[in-house]
Amino acid sequence: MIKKIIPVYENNSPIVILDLLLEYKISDIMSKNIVSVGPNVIMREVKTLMKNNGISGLPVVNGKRLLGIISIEDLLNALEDGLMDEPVSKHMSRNPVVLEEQMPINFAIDYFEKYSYNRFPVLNSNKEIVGMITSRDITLHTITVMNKEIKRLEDSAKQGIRTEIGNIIRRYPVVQNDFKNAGKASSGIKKVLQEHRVNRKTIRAVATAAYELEINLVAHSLGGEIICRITDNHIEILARDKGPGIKDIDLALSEGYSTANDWIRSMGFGAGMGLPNVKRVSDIFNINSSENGTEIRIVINLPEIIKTDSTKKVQK
Amino acid sequence: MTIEKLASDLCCQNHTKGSSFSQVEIEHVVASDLMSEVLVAEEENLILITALNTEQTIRTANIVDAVGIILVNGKSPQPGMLKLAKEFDLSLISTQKTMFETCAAVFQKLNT
Repeated sequence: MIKKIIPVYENNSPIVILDLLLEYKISDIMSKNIVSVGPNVIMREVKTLMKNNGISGLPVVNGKRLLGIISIEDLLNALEDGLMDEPVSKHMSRNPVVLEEQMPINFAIDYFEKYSYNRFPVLNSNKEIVGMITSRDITLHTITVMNKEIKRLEDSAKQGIRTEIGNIIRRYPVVQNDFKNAGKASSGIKKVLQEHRVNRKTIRAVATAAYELEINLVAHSLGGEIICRITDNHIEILARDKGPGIKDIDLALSEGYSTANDWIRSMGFGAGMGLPNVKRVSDIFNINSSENGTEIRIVINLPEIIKTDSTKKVQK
Repeated sequence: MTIEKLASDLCCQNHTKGSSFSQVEIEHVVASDLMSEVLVAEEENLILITALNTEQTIRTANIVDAVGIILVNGKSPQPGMLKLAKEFDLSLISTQKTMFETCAAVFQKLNT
């Protein structure tokens, strides 16, 4: 058996590569905007077309019927022999090797290995030309598909490889109207989670909740504190203040309701989205409020640490 | 479209350049002066268009993992914002255009 030059499409290829080669059809990756010429076009015009479109070969067609291929090599020969005013039909290669649009991509790769051509015309089931395929099309498509798959793997890996957290407690005092420092608690919590390689989505949820709670304390309370407890399974945030309490909790939890004044609005808050945002990202949300103070406790669950096969074996 | 390209096309002034400045393709845009509305965003690789020039703008952008901020209405960032933007590795650019004009221009750039 002849050894393949391109080391893909082998029995031990990763699934993503085999999928890529067998699931996608040539029609998925070919160029559909074909630059072509009729048989009576003269070689000089072919030269201009190739130059202007940056291509080194094009199909010669009669309507949708493929007659042949004219390559830059044919053009050079014509130039050398001074035949640039002859029609293309005299210089083209007839009966070119073609691919069909319904074939899987591995056919195209095989053809590029087997023949020395840089491009193949693609025909539909009626033998009409519908596209052209170059190795560049294959490269671009391959990289795009593999990029997507690697990103997916990286994202799922991130969930699995977060380090063990144990039990971390952070306490942040929050001062009334201190917009200058508002956000420090949430930045701090975010940093701890990043250090333990928690997945991005969870970090974003936790940071959003912590930030909104912090802003609430700054804007609406007489001051208080944010306490954050991080364990291996979940993150708990407790926001408590010294008053004056929330008059109508149901109203405060409805989107768009706000008691913020113009000054708070000028700081970018008071959209009436604070508590609804916190509730949206939380798995557990508890609120208690009286004129002596408000206490909000939320829990956001962490995705499970995925145990690798090797750890399972050790456990047995 | 990267922030670098957008900044040059829209004649913006560059204040801080995060590592994503010329690296990351902008995929989404959130435009608001109310930070709680921004915090609802769940998309990746987004930029924030806002007229709010306080440190909370930068903190909010950091929380939603934004890659950059466009400050509109000819506002200049406060010194504290620049310091925070550098700390959070965010790109911060500003324009003389209004919020409306900026949104229209960015929309056009991202959809052509």
